[in-house]
Amino acid sequence: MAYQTGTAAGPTPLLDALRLFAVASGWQELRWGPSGPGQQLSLRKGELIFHLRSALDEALRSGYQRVTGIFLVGSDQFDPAQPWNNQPGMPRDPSKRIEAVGLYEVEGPCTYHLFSSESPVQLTMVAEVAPGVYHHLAFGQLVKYGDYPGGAFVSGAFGSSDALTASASDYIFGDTQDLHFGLPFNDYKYAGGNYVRAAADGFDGWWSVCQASPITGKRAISVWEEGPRSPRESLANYWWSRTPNTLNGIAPLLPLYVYLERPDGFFSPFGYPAHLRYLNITHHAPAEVFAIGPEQWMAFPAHSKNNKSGVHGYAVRLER
Amino acid sequence: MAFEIGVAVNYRDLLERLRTFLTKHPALIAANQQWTQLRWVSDATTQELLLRAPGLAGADDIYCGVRSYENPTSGYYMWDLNGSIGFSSADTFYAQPSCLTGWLPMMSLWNEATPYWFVANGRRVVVVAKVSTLYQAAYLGFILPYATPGQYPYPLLIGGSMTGQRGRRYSITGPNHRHFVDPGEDVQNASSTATMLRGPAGAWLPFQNTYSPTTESRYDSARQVWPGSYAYLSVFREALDGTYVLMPIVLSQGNSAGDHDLFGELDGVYQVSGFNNAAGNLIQVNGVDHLVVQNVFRTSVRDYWALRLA
Repeated sequence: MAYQTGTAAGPTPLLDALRLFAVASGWQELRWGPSGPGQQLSLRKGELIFHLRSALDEALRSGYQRVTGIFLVGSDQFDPAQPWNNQPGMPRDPSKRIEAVGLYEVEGPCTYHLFSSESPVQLTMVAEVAPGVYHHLAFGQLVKYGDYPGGAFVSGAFGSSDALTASASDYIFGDTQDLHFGLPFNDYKYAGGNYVRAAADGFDGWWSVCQASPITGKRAISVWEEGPRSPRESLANYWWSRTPNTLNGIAPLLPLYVYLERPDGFFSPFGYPAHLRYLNITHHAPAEVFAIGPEQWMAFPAHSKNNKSGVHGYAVRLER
Repeated sequence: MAFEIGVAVNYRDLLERLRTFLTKHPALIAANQQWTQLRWVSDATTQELLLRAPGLAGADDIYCGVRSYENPTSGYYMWDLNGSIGFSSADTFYAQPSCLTGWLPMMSLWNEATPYWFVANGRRVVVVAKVSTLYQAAYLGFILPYATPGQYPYPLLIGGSMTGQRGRRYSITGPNHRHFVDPGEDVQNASSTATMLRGPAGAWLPFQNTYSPTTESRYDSARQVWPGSYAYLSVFREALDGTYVLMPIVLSQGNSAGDHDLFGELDGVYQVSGFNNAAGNLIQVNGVDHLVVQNVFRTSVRDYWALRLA
C-alpha cells in the first residue's frame, strides 16, 4: 500500500491510521500499546527502527511546551522492556535527555495523507490539522552520498516542542509571510525538527539539522542555510525566488540536500530524501497531485498557503 | 557521446582538431550525431568554423560557430564563440541569423602546445583547454531545459571563459575572465558575459554571478548560474567516505520585471568541491570518469567543476 487518505478524530486515531498503513506497507509492528494518556508505536523495516507516541496535551519532557499530536524518534535497536522514549540510540541532547520531532496542533478531526516508498524506505504522513493548515512527519533512509554508517532520518513540522512564535527568527528568509519552519529539512531555525543518523568524526548518533546551536551537539545543514549576505541567501532561496517558471508555470523540484558539519568547519554532502522535495506551490493547491513524466507527486504547503508559509511547500512522491 | 583527450600544437590546431572531432568522431557517427560543417575558412591569421548539430535524434538544427584570430604583438590568441538560429552563406561569422552581437563569450588561448578535452553529443560540445597553468573552457549547444520542446524549442547556450573587449590575453585576472559555470563581468548588469543563453522568447540573456574587477563580489543579479551564486559553496567538501558529489548547474532568472525562471541544467557539467581536489583529477561517479576543472586561474574550494567524460 503506497498511499492512503482518510480522517482521524485525534492524535491516537491518527497514529493508529499510520500504524495500519505501515504494517500494510511491509513494516514490522514491534509494539502497539498504551503509554500514559496516549499510545506508543514501534516500527521496524530492515535496520531502521522508529518510535512514535500520541500526545494529549503533554510535554515531551520537563522544560518543553505541552503539545497535542504525535512524537517521533529513531533508534538503533528495540528494547521491549523500555518505553518508546528510552530506546537504544535515540536522539538525545548532551545531557542525555530525549529529543523528538513532531506533528502537533491535532486538536480535532483531521484529514491525513499517508505515503510509503521503497529504495530507499520512507514513510510520510501529512495531516490537515485545521482547514488549510498542514503538518508532516517523515522517516526512513536518505539516499546516501558515499559509503558510511548511518543515513536514517526523522523529519517533523516541529521539534521537541511547539516553538512556533511570531519572532523574526522563525521566518524562513526573514519575511513575515514565511513564518513557519515546518518545511522538511528547513535548517533556518536554531533547532529544527529534523535529525539525521550518522557515525562520523567520533560521534555516533543523531545530528541536528539547524542553523546553529544543535540540540544533539552535532550540526547538519540543508538547502536553507543562509549565507553571509542580505537578503538571506541560500541554495533554496535562489531556487524559490526563481520559481515557478514564468515560461510555463512549472516549479522544478529541489532535492533537500543535507550536509554534515565536520571538525574543520567544512560540510560534507550526506544525502537527501528520495521521495520528498522542496516546491514553490504558487500554482498548486494543497494536496494537489501533479505529474513529472511518469512520476506522480502531491503538493503541500509548509504550513498554510498564502498565509504563514506563503508559497513555500514541498512535494511527496505518490505511488498508488 | 564522444570524448577526446589530446594535445594540440597551438590554438589554431586546437580548432582544427575540434572540427575533425565534431564531424568525424566514430562515436558521434555511430550514434548519427555527427555535426555538419557549414563553413570552414582558414587563412594566415584567422579561422572560421560554422557548424550545425543534429540533436540526439537528428530532429534538431543547432547552429554554433568558432572564429580564431590573433595579435602576436599584443600577445593574444582568441576564439570567439557564437550561436545562431540558422546559417547564411552570404553573411559573416558575426552576422549569422539572430546571432550574438557585441561582446561575445570567448576563449583566450596561446600559440603553444595545448592539452585539451572535448566532449560532445548531438546537442552540445564542451571544450576544456589548458593554457600554461590556467584552464579555458567553452560550451556550445543546448542545455537540458526544464520545459518541453514545444515550450522552449531552442535552448542554445554559448558559454566561454572570457568576455569583454575582443583581444584579451589569457593571463588577465578579474571577473571578466571566468568560466560559464560561474560567470562574471567588470560591472553590474553587463549586457554580455561568458554565459549567454537564448531565452524562450528568442532574446539572448546574459548571466552573471560576480562583478568588480578587484574583489569579484557576488551579488543578486537578474540572471545567475546556480549554485555558483551561493557564497557558502566555499564550505562544502567531499563526502564522508572521501568521494566527491556532483551538483547540477542551473541557469536561473529572477528580475524586477517579474520573470522568474529556472531555464534548465548544463549537460554533463556539474559543480564539485575543490576541497583537497585539483584540476586535471579524474573522479568517478556512477562508474563514469569526470574531469575536474578549475575556473581559469582560481583554486579556492568553490572554484571547481566537473566534466563527464562520456
